[in-house]
Amino acid sequence: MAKKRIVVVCGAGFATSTAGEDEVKKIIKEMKLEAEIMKKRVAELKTVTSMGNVDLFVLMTPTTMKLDAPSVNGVAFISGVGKKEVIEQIKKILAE
Amino acid sequence: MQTFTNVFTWITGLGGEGIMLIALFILGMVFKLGIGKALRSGLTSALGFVGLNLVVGMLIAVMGPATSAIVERFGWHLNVVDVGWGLIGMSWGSPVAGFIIITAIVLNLILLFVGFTKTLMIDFWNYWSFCAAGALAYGATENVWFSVLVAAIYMVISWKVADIVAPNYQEFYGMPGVSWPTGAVIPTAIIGIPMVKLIQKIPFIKDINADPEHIQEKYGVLGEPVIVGAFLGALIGFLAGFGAQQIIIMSIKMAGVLVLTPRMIAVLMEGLLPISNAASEFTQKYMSGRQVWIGIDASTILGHPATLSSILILTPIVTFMSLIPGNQMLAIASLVAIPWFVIPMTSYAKGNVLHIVLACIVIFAVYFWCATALSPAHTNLAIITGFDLPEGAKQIGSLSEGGNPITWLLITIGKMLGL
Repeated sequence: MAKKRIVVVCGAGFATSTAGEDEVKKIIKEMKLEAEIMKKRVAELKTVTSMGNVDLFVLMTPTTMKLDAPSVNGVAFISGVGKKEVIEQIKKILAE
Repeated sequence: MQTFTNVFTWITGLGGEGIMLIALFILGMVFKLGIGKALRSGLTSALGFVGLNLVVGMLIAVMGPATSAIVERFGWHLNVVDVGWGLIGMSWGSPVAGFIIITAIVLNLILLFVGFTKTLMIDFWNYWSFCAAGALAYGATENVWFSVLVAAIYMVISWKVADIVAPNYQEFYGMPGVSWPTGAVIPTAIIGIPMVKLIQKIPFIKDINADPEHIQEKYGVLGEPVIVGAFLGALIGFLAGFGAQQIIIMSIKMAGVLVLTPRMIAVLMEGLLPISNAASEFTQKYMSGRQVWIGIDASTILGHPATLSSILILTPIVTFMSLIPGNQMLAIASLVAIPWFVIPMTSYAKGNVLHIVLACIVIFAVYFWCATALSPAHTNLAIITGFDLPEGAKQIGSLSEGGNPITWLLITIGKMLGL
């Protein structure tokens, strides 16, 4: 299977995205996938979307930017509310 | 008591990385991570501290001579070097950090229990703001108990303000059940939200609006740290009267500072994460069945287009605001923290970029003055935590938390009481 490319997006690029990255890593491990996970600031999204080839965006903050790949709301990873649903969503997207 | 003082002095002598290793190891053991994980956690965070120290060291080495040259050429009184988020390392690595973290966890549970607040702050990471207030108080007075008290007062204010503004944010961003007790958005909310309400009453100005989507779309790339850093580095080199070669080097190094600081903090964060998860499980267990708002990081509401556009517009404005009378710090490294000054206003201003920017200008003025007033404490804190300040060290300061008016006020009161 091809290597997945996942971008975790947050405000500063280090705090909530590190927490999100940690959760995504667990899912990747569980699904036995290979993936490249990048942490990006929301201000850098324009550059990231122009790169293309992203399989999944995990958004730790809302954005109105047009994304060229499916995205999930990752806030559940830090608040704990609705975390299971988000994990399921991610698994579904990555399984395709 | 004597033994306590001896142990405390010995640990303090280890500097920031050593303090962090020990404090996090103990915390990890308290939350039953096991020796291996607790040790790894403490070590990883200590490494983040080491990395942060290197970046701040380079920043001071580059900015020191440049600011001296600018001061000489223009007579601008800007002798405080801005270390920005370098304060994060000093806060986690300060001798009082461990006490403050324990205080925060216990105090939060007690205040929830008695119904003073609804916010359960599981966002362990942002305890750094409280640690920063305490660390600066320690830098000012070297009094452990006073420092913990300052941090505790800041916590109480933060949770209460987070409660008060939460319903507005929840509705605007469509995120029920959570609140945002991030320290960085609290004093800014206290000053900024009344400002916004005032601005909404001023004729003419109240009706002007700029289109945030358009600004973000057109100038978005300019807000990226690598561009901001490179441009400002070149500008400072130019103002300092350097040659082309020096200007290019300044430009690369300043971009390096803005891009690398968050990377180093991410390492620090990585070490904190297992403890953070354990602490949040612990607190949630004790609060199960109660109606609480989960306190999360304010960066989760940063992505609004009006917020991002305001950040873009404010970046050059804040740099030039360094020239306001009474300020002595040239803001560069702190520019990456602008988002947290903007966040509290967006929903109250209903996304009006002009109103947000005007309110922020007032907030930044207050922060500049407080950062200048707190810079001796900031500098002493850097020395205590073992940051490398060059020979004939300059003063250092920062805006986010380094210019927190609540911290400044409490330290000033402490000093008046003879501490």
